[in-house]
Amino acid sequence: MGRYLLKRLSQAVLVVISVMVVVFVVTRLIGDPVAVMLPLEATEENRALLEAQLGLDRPILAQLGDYVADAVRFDLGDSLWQRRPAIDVVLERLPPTVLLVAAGFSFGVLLGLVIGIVSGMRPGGWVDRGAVTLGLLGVSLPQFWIGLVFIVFFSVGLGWFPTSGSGGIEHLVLPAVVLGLPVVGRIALVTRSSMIDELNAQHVKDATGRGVSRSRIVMVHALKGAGIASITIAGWELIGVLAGGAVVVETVYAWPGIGFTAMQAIERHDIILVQAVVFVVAIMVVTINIIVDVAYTMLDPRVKFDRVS
Amino acid sequence: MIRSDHLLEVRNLEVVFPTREGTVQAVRGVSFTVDAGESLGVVGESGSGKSTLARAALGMIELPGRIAGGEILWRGRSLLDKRVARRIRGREISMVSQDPMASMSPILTIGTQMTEVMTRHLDIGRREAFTRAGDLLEKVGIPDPGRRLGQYPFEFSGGMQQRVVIATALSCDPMMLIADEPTTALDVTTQAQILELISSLQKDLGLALVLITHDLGVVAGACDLLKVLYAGEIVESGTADQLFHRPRHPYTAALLGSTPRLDVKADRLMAIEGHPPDLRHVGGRCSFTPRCPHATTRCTTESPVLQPSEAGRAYACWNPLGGREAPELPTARAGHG
Repeated sequence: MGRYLLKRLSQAVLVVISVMVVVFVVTRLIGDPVAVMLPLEATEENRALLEAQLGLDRPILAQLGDYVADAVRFDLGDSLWQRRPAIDVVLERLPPTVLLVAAGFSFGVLLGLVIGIVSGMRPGGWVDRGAVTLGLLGVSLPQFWIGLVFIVFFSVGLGWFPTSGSGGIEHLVLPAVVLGLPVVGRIALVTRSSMIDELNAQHVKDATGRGVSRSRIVMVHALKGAGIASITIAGWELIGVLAGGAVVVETVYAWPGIGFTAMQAIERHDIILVQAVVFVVAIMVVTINIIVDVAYTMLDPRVKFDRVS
Repeated sequence: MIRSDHLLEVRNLEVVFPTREGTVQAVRGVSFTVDAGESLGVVGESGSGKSTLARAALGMIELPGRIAGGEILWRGRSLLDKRVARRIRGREISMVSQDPMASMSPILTIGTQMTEVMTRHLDIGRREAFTRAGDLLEKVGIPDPGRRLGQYPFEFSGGMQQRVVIATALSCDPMMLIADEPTTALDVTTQAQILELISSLQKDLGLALVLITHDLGVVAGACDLLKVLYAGEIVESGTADQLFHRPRHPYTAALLGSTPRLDVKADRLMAIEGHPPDLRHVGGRCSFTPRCPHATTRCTTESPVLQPSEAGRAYACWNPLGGREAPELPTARAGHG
């Protein structure tokens, strides 16, 4: 297990570095932060001066080298927009995102599991049909659209929740639900189909013949097997929620997390801050990946570390 | 409560499976009884309805399957009542199925799967159930049971795993064990050991045993009474001795001819030509007619019923083989060894 973790950790470091290099190069190719930062009437000299200040006049490989050397010490440079260390801005905005992601993801996984189990128990029944329809809707409706519809319906229409911003639990409900809906859909669909497979397995029929109760068969025998499939999906979902959904949902609801911050940084061509956000998200993603793989080996006795490596 | 003097009594059982292309009549008017301590062999080829019969006897016919007629009584109580069947399964009747590796969940330990049945049916706690599970493993010949209980099915060989399945089936001291092809998935040497284990446990515990198989060699030593099933019907029944030495139904004789034997020298085994009938279109004639070397016009127009004949045996055939002597079998089984 120790060797396996070490191997995975070194792979993770490589992944993060690769992501950073790509982001570094791409942000410098697609936009010019200097043009955004200076007023329209700025002269050529002003431009050259600012470029020199920011170090953007040097060859890109030299910039990259400096950046990596600093990043190793967790110095990701100063945000061009906020004029303070970018990592501070990101870490400040991280807790709201963690809260939102945790709420949305738990909502998605729990509801998805329940729907998946119930519909997998009686495939083809009306509960199942409703659940599959709901699951497909959750997967296919775009989040920015659902987000806006919910605001119109629940906030403007019914006045149950605030339209946006953060504060109490009432601010959390809508964004968390919208963030969790695709998770509900996919977890429900995957859990449903693996429950159906498990319940049709020979060992389930034989367990019935041996006198194991139906409730134990569903909740222990079938669910443990189905859970192994679901946890893999759940890991991917968490990554999707964190790296994708959060940006959209935070922007729609003006939720002060790193997703919203990323959007603001992109609008302002604050390449330093964009890099910092990507850096933190990349670290979280690879960490989640490792945790999922370890959880997998602990849940399924057939998978062992020595066989994986 | 219906009066029945037998442990298990199946009366005129009809099991059907509706399909889009018509209704499959899997079990057609089967009746038999099993008494305490008795061992019954049910022999038939694939699709003869033998496994359906086994599941019916456990009250486990699942949709779209349906019991269309008849009655299954366990000590006078109807197993068609799901609540009765639930209480009896595992407690009074238990089963062992074909593939031991597929018979238990691959991701739960043997100990968990052995004890979950006991804690449900017997009035004992988990700790006591584990002790009992260890004793049972020892009884079925698995060394080091303490360590084994913490292992998973994939850590056992096929034969060992089947011993575990048997031990689990017997964990609540049932009165009857239904073994559906218990040795088919095992290699030949292991088959013999498992059969021997089942037989000795049956005698030691005074179990009633229903052994379901396609292999006459399997029932030869293990069962006192045999029923031969063809196309969902019992075509012949009697003691093992009677059926092996004086089969009256041509199908029984043909099955014997297709089974390799050590005591009979045969140049070649005889395959039974043709296929079992389509179970959506049966009745009105003897189902074996198309494959029967002795068929006459009567066989194609009238369905023979199971007729009792001498000394507790019965057969459903218009032209039974042989009298009291060894019959002329449609095989190359010349020259007894």
